[in-house]
Amino acid sequence: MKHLLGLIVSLVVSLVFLTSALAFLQAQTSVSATFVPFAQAKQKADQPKKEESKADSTKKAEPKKAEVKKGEVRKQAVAAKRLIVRGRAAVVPGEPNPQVLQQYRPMLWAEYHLARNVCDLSLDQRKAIARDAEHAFQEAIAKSGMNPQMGFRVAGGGANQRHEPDDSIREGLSKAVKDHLKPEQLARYQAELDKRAANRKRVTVDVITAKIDESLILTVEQRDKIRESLVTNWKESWCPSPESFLFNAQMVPQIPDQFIVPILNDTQKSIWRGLNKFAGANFRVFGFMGNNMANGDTPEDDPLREAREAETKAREEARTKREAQQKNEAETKKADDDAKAKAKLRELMQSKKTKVAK
Amino acid sequence: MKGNTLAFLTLASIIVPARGQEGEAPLPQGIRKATAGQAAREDLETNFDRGLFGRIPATKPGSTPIAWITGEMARAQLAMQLTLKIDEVERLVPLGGGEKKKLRAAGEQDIRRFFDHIGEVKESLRLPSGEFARGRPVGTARTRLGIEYRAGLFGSGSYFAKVLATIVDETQAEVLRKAATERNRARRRTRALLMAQSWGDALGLDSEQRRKLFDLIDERIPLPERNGLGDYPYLIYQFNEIPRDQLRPIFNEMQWKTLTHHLDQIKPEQQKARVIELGFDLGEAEQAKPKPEAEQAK
Repeated sequence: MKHLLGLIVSLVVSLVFLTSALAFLQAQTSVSATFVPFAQAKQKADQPKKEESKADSTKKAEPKKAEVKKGEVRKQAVAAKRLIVRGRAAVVPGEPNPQVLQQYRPMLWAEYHLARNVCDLSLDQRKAIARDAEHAFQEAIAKSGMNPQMGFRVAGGGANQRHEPDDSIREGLSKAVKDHLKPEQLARYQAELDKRAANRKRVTVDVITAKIDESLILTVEQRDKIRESLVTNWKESWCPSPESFLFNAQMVPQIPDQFIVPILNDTQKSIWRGLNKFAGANFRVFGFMGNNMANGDTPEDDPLREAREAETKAREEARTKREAQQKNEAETKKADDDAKAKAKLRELMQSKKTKVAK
Repeated sequence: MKGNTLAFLTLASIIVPARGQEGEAPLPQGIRKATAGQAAREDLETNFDRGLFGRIPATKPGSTPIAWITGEMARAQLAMQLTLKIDEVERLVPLGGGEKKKLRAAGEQDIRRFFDHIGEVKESLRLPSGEFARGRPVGTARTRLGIEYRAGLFGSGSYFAKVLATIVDETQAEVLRKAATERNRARRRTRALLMAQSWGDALGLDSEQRRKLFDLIDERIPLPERNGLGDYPYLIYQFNEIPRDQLRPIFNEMQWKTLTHHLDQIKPEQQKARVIELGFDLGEAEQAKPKPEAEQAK
């Protein structure tokens, strides 16, 4: 009788333990499914920590694993909450932020129209270029992981490297255009790009030299030397957006002292040191006109409009498909986990029964 | 220690005794490190000065602290600019020791007058309760003072300019005028170049179109002598005043459609009010505008 009572008690205890284990597993599966996008977003930042915790768990005893997982789930939840608070959660990782697309669309428009203007494109060429350019444009912004808050971050010189996707967008667009040009068109287009880049650099350097001159009252020789020093050592990151000067005429970019100071006299050096400098803030593309364009008011020709609509539709379809697949996978995994847990439970009960029988 | 840092510290030590800062070159007492949220806690009058004079970047790349330029620091900078201004005059026309002293005294008077003016403006912004005002009037007052400060205190209308006029003869005055005109013209051209570049990039203009746009801006929009914070609103306002038939030949159909679409969104009266608020003398600009050919022929 005593044996039977002991057996019943131990069976009840085992059952309670297994039920709670099963419940825990189920909860974890559902939490992981909910936070998949956030987990992906946080993955990069957490990578070293995860590796550390992996190494730790290998060293420590097996039961610690559950605690580590529990901690990770909590971390993911906190990260997800932060993302929601910052307004980033609305965008699916790997997809371009619609607001950023809107902000940078003037760049696509300008590149497309430069090609159209310079190369005298046929309708077929325009369609092909618009399609590839739109795709490259959205890809570049998706890869940059930009959101509107980041867009207004101060970027530029010194240790603060810029975080704007301008270069990758331009490269992508330029490639999309070049892929569809005939050799003579390509030569014309490339020549125009070169002229534009040279002009942009010259204008920026001239503006900065004039700015420095206003504060330091340079001699003609000093002006020439500073201009030469800037041209020779120029780095885009000092001043990513020349349009910044349009908005803030008093802005002096934070150019490293070694390119300016040796040319100055002692009084000028003192003033230079105390000047109100900015680390190349980016005021978005194209200033006033860019702002208007970013409001969605830019006239589009048919190929551009069709390409935008097609790309958006394709991305929407791909996203729906991907989400369905992820949901399917999560459900399959959940079913597998349930089956495994049930099998384990059956196995345990079987072994208990065998023990009792013995 | 680098030369520039040494020069800066020498200047700072004249104003106030220096004190050490963690891991960076010591900053003078008048300059304080700004930390997040600190600005909000500081009194509004200090914030007014900060907005007016700005800040200088951290001495080490990558370090976040920023030093605000105080009134004393700005005063010292203006004194140094006065030295440079006298040097510039001396390069162009010979000056005796007494004449240099006179010029310096006049320039110092300009600096004093400017700071007295700041004091008066601040006083006018003080509420009956003794607190400093907030909102738009403060911003407008600060912007106006900022334009005055950054445009330089020794231009036309200053004591410096008046004393200089009594020192130099007619020929020397012409030399100085010519040099100043050349310098201002170079500065104005950079503004026109920048606008042409920016709008040219936005509209997808080729190099020839961009050149034409620059020529048009350079010819048709004379910037007044005083350049500053409102340059861009002023340029936009003036560009919109150019008759459209003169603009049209530069652009192709799509570019024109886009440009006019943007220009149509400018409300001329609002833009004009803004430009005047920013301290631009539109009367001066009107006078500087090239006269139509028919009028010139008359």
